[in-house]
This record gives sequence, C-alpha cells and structure tokens, in this order.
Amino acid sequence: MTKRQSLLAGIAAGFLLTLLAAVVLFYFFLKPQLA
Amino acid sequence: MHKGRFVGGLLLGVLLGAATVVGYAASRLFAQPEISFAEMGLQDLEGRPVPIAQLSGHPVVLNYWATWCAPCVEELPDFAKARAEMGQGVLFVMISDEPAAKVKAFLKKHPYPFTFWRVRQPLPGVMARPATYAFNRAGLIVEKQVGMMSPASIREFIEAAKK
Repeated sequence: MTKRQSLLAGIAAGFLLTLLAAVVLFYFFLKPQLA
Repeated sequence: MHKGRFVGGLLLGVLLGAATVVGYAASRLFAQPEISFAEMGLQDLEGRPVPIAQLSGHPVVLNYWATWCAPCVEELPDFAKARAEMGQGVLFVMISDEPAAKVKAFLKKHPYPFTFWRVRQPLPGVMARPATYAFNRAGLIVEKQVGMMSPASIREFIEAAKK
C-alpha cells in the first residue's frame, strides 16, 4: 500500500465512521427526545 | 500500510464527515417548506376544525410557536406592537402543537390579541420555531422565516401580506 493509498483509506474510514456515529447518535439519543 | 498517513487521513476524514453532518443538520433545521392552511390541520382551542374559508380573502401573518419556546414568547410583544400600529385588516394567527390547555393557561397570564389555534401535529418539515409565514389574500405564501423576527421584518411581513 502506498502512502497515498493509506491516506485515502484513512480519509474514507474517518468519513464513514463519522457519518455512522452521527446516524447512531441521532436514532438512539436525539430522535426519542424529539418525538 | 503507512500508519502515520492512515491516521492523518482518518483525522481528515472525521473533519470532513463532521462538516457534512453539521451542514446537513443546519439545512434541515432551517428548512421551512411552503405549507397550505389545509395541510396544517388547524383547530381552534376547543378542538374544532377551523374552516379554511375563514382565512381566505384575508392577509394572514402566521406564526408557529410554543409556550416552551423562549424566542417565540420573546417576539410576541413585537408582533402585538406591529399589529397595533399597522396590522388593521390582517389576521395574526399563532399556532402551536401543544395541548390547548397549555396555550389557554399562557393566554390567561399574557392576553395577546391574536388568534391562537392548534395544529394536531408538528408542522411537517419545519424543524425549528419560531417559524413565521405571510400569506396574501389569495392564500399564497409571500414571505417566510425560521427564527426570531426583528420588528422590521414583522413590518415587512405585514406589508407583504397586505399587497
């Protein structure tokens, strides 16, 4: 794996993890409060 | 795998993801879809459905509020002032999705001269309040704003509704 590929893999992983965290946070914590 | 690069990328990805989430949330929060009187399912405080005909032909300034919403309550005196100064012939309708008893209790303490009605459910797609709409005589939305209104924008809404 080249340096560039490692960087891109990191960006992709970080991005997806953050979106996942936001979705989990919303459905389990925020949505019950809004309802 | 270059660990340093991966971790650097991970941080960058988290930042990008956070920006995306915040941007999306903000766009949803400040969304204010155009919504007709019929879609709102208006009721008076006794639970009777409000006939839409009662609104047609009138300029209407409609404010989506709640007794628990501090900025909503804060802007009511400005609405009252603008109504007294230039609101002749304009219907000021305040709608909330709270139980009627809550609104009635609020009105006992603060008897504002507006029409207070209920909606059975939160307005679809409107995530934040206060949200204010100006409807012209034809029942079309001519102005809308999410968030607290300045006295100047209240006047603009009244003018727009009257046109």
